[in-house]
Amino acid sequence: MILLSRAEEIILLSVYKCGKNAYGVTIREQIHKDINRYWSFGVIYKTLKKMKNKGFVKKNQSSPISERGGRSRYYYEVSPKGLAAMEEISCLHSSIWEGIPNLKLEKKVK
Amino acid sequence: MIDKKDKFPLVPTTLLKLFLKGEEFHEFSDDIGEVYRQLLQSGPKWKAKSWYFFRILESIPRIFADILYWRFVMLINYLKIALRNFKRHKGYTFLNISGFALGMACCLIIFLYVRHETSFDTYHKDVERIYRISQDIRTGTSNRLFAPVSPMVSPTLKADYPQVEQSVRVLPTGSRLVKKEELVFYEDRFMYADKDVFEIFSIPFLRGSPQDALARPQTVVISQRIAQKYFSGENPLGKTLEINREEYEITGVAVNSPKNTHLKYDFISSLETLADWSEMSNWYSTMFYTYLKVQPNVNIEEFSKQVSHVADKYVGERLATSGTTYSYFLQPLSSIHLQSKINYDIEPPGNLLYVKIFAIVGLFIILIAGLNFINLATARAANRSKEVGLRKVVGAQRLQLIGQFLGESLLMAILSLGLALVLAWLVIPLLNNLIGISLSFAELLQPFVLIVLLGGAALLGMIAGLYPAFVLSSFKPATTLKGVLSGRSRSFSLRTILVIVQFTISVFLIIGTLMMSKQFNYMRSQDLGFEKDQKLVLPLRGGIDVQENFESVKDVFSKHSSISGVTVSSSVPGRGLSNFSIRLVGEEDAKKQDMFHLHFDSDFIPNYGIEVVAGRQFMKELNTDFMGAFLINEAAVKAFGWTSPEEALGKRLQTGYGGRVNPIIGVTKNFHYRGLQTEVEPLVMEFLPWSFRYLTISMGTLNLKETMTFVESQWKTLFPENPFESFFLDIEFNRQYKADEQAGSIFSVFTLLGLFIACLGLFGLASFMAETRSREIGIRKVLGASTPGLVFMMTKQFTKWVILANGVAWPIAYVFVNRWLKNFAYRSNMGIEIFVLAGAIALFIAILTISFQSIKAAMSNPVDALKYE
Repeated sequence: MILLSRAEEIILLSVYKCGKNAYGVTIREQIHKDINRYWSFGVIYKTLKKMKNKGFVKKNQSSPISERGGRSRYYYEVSPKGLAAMEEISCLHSSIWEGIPNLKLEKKVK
Repeated sequence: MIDKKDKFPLVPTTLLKLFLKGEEFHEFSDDIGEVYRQLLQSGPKWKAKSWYFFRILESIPRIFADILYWRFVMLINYLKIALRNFKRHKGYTFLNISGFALGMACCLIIFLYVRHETSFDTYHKDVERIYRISQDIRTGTSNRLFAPVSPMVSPTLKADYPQVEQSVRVLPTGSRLVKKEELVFYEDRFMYADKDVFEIFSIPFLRGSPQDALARPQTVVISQRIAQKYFSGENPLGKTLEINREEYEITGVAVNSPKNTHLKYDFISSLETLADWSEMSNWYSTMFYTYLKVQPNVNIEEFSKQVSHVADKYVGERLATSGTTYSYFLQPLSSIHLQSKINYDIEPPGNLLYVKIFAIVGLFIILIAGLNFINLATARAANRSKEVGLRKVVGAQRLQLIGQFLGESLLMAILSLGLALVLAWLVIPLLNNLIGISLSFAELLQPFVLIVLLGGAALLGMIAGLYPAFVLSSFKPATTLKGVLSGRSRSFSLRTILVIVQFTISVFLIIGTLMMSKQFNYMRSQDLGFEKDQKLVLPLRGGIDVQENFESVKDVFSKHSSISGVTVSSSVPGRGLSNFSIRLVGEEDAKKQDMFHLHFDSDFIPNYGIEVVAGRQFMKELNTDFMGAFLINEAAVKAFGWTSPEEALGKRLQTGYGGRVNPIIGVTKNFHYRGLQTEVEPLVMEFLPWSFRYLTISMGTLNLKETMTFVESQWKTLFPENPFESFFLDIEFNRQYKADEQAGSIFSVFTLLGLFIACLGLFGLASFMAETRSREIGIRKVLGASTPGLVFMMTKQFTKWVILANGVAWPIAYVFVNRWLKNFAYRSNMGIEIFVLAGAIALFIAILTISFQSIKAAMSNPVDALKYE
């Protein structure tokens, strides 16, 4: 079974959601959208690096881009192993939440 | 196209550059750079800049933590590799660590020794203001230095010199018979002292108070040891001890005398006791050691000039009429042990020369060990070259590699220190027993000392590791990974020099050891001019007086069949003699001469086998010989300027004390009444019963045990009050060489260790050489070289080095050994054979060390060496 840390999980999902356009800035924006806070670039890059070493994401260099002063972007994409991990996490989530009623609803009922 | 250099804020970008490199840096800075540019176009400049700045700032903690993490991982890796290397090359690691540890253990022991010797009397409060005043007595052209001075000096100092804060007199008396009920012992460390003695010497009290302990006569302060011995746990204050048949009240108990003081005490009695003694007002006596403490901020140079004339005001004129001058000089208290070279010091001083020699030997040994390390590490560089190459290929920086190898040698140094401490702990008790010194291991465990040692070991590891680290880290990955690097790298010549230096030191040490043992043998075997074997000496002390009845006492002992003779004397060779000035009577210039005095009865000369070269010796039957005649030795004849011993006969001398005038009736051959470190000096001998202190019994070799029992039983009937004690003359005489021989044995132990460490290095080097040349040897063998020829070929090179080392060591050793030999008045010659022998020993050991490896290599099957080609 593959277990990811919460930070890794969030970043992996963000990379997935960004699709073809996943690089530092967009990933950070995506995370903000999801969890409503900005993470530092340091955390994002270091976590991505770790996941790259574990084989969950792939890092690709784009062709030079003029907006960046003629340099390449570094795009991330979820690898097949990463996809498997996502699937497992999702299963895991539903299984550990099973039997827990909808908390919001219960509050309203009371 | 945007020019990025102008656009990005410089400070945060540089900051980021400190932590990130290459791709990671560009990814980060370009990513936030994109947003930064958008912000620049959409909003105010400061907003963009601060956004940029904070993105970097908030990321730094995480990035930094990450770096630390990887550093740590690398460290663990280095450690793992280091330990793996240690494990894989057990032999090499053993050689390295054991060499290092042995060297360090030597240094630790030497450090303790030097520290002990230099710490004498440094623990007293205000020690920098405490001095001993000593005396230079000049008579005509000769002068003698005396440590003790007149009892009048101390009161005069206090009265006449305002610079003197306090001054005290100390009078050590030597052995006293101490009695408490049935406990009777001779105690040696007894002294009288002024009541203020504790203001100068810091001697902590366990009971009683130092201020008034010695105010009254017949009072005594005892050490804890003595309190335990006589009172076993009871409070001794107010109790009494009988000392030489007088009652003394105990007024204080002090801690035991430390080992590092020249004034060792067990009993300190009040000088008030002797207040009525006529000697107490004698300006001419030299018996009292006088210590003074000057006021703070006294110009000591000026003060010592003034104080040299302390006696002139009182006795200057009278001294001048007899052609004598007294001048006084100050010795700093802490310098007395090592630097005082004057007569009648309280205990034989330490020898500064030996302290220096040992310090140098310590340095030498650690040098040998360090060179060993460098040598082995560089020699083995080839074995690590693949690792270095690989590390470089995967991106190791040169500095990182240097750090890694330095770290490894550091690790080794610290491991060695641990081992060295264990070794020292094991060896110090043995050494203390063997050589009779008193070093304490516990001193090494003081936190400060430990930190210094750790620092020293680390420094040593760094220095030793520096060169190998540079060599190792300089390998080019392309060549090393191809496996081209052979043993014959450029560092070869350096290795040669290192081995030569090691063996130079070793040869030097061997020469020193051989010369020392030659000198000690010479001293022990030299004809002393008297018979020292088979003589049992009984000291007559603790109030025994044989002035009236010495003949009958002698008769009691001589009754036994295996006792061939008994004689009494004021001293025996090896025990000290007193020295007084003697005047020649009748000559116009009334020549004065300092002479040693020895008093004995008519049986001394025949019993001791001393040769009389002119005249005759004392005769029992002649009443005029009894306190009425002198014998002198040949040295005295020479000192008075007579050309032959016969010329001396009939000349009349006046003794320096008592003023008796007697003729010279005989001249003896020079005999060594002191050790061979000193010349035989002029001696005058007299038949003077009141000073007899020793009984010498000449015994046959048969029934030794039974004779001893007889002597002891006779003693018990003669002197029932006094415990029986005795010593053999030869053993006692040779005790004068103890200090020198002690130093000699320490020196030889260190020589042995030094040589051993050097051989460890050589062994390692030889095995490495054999390994790297295995293919060459294989080819030579295939082509028909013989095994002895190969062994010779490999040994030749090392032999050359050792011979070269001899060439360097000989002149250096010659100079140093010569200087050491000057300590002895009678010295054996420094023959060339010592040098040759030392060279031969070094060469032999070196060849032995190498031959094991070279024979192994030469005998090996060439197929094994060549099959991988």
